Amino acid sequence: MKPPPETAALPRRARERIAASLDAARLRRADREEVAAELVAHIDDGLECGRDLEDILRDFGEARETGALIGRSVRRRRRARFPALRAAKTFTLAIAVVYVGLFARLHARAPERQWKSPAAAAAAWRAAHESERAAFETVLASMYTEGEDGRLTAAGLRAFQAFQAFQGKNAPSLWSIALEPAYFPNPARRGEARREFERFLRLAEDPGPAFETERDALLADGRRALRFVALQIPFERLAATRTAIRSRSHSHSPSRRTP
Amino acid sequence: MRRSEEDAPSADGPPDRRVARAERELMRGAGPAAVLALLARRGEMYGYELVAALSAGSDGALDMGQATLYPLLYNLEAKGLLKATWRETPAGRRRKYYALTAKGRRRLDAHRREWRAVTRALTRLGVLERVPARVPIAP
Repeated sequence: MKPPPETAALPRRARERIAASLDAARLRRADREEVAAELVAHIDDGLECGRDLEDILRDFGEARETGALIGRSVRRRRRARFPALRAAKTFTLAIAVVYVGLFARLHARAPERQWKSPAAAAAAWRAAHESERAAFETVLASMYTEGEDGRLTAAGLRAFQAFQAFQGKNAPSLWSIALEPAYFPNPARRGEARREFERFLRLAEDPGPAFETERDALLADGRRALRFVALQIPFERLAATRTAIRSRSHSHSPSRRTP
Repeated sequence: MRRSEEDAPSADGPPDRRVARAERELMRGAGPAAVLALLARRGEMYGYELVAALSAGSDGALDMGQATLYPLLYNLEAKGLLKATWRETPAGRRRKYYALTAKGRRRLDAHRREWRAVTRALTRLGVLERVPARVPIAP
């Protein structure tokens, strides 16, 4: 409770009263000095008008409550004086609210089909399917909520460790879970992912290099790669199928040419 | 309006809530309108001058101590109704002078309309007697 230097010329009781109020106000240094100077001027004006010091100090009221009232109003005034600071706080709050919404959207819903472990999901994916299309439906059901408009889910990201694989990790850290909404602010809906897969399927059936070119372009584009995170799972399988077809066609082609 | 150590509220709820309530009461009462009206009439005034004028002009009904006046002034300043300027007195002391802003004038007009409506209502209800002439406010 050190009396501010502005009060040096005042009687001790007045100095102490101002210091106690300012301590209760919990102000920044500049504000504290300004308020101290104003209170000193007030007491000086009162004394100049012939008022008794005790009488003026009585008007001060209870130091803690006076200080608290002054502190609140000065802080409010400071916020009003610096609108950019207020705007920054509002902006941060808005971002936080949006982020909480995105987090809830990603985490609150369950996929159409849930697995006990990523290994079980991977096994279901590797199991024999009638076609690549049918296999990819297993992926979609494990990652998305139901329906053509289904949304990507946090549980779905865990099912195939898709996000972790993308990040080169084996298990999600608390940080990566907290950051998921930032990575997936607008993931593709289930129908969009399916249409994109169909496009890649057509490219994969083409003997040219278009499939590899498009796949590499998608993986190189971070935003698109995260938006279509589900597509990263069938890529490996499609690439393996293409390699097998190519090697078969290479091994068969010389015999065909031979008369 | 004066707060002293004797009549300060006791353990009436947590301190923060008590202070917030005190602040709300401060801004809701006649104090803000009275301060704005005085500044509209006098142009600019400093803290002690305002306290003295309010006390004299209201026969002590609007007696304000520092605990009431300065939070009220800072709140009005935060709302953009007042602007403050530090100036030196002829005696070489520094004083902070308050003056109304354009927004403050508009708010004073709104206060006047509200208080006229309240006064009319209280008069009709018989709470107030009809005042035959305007009560002069001491300079």
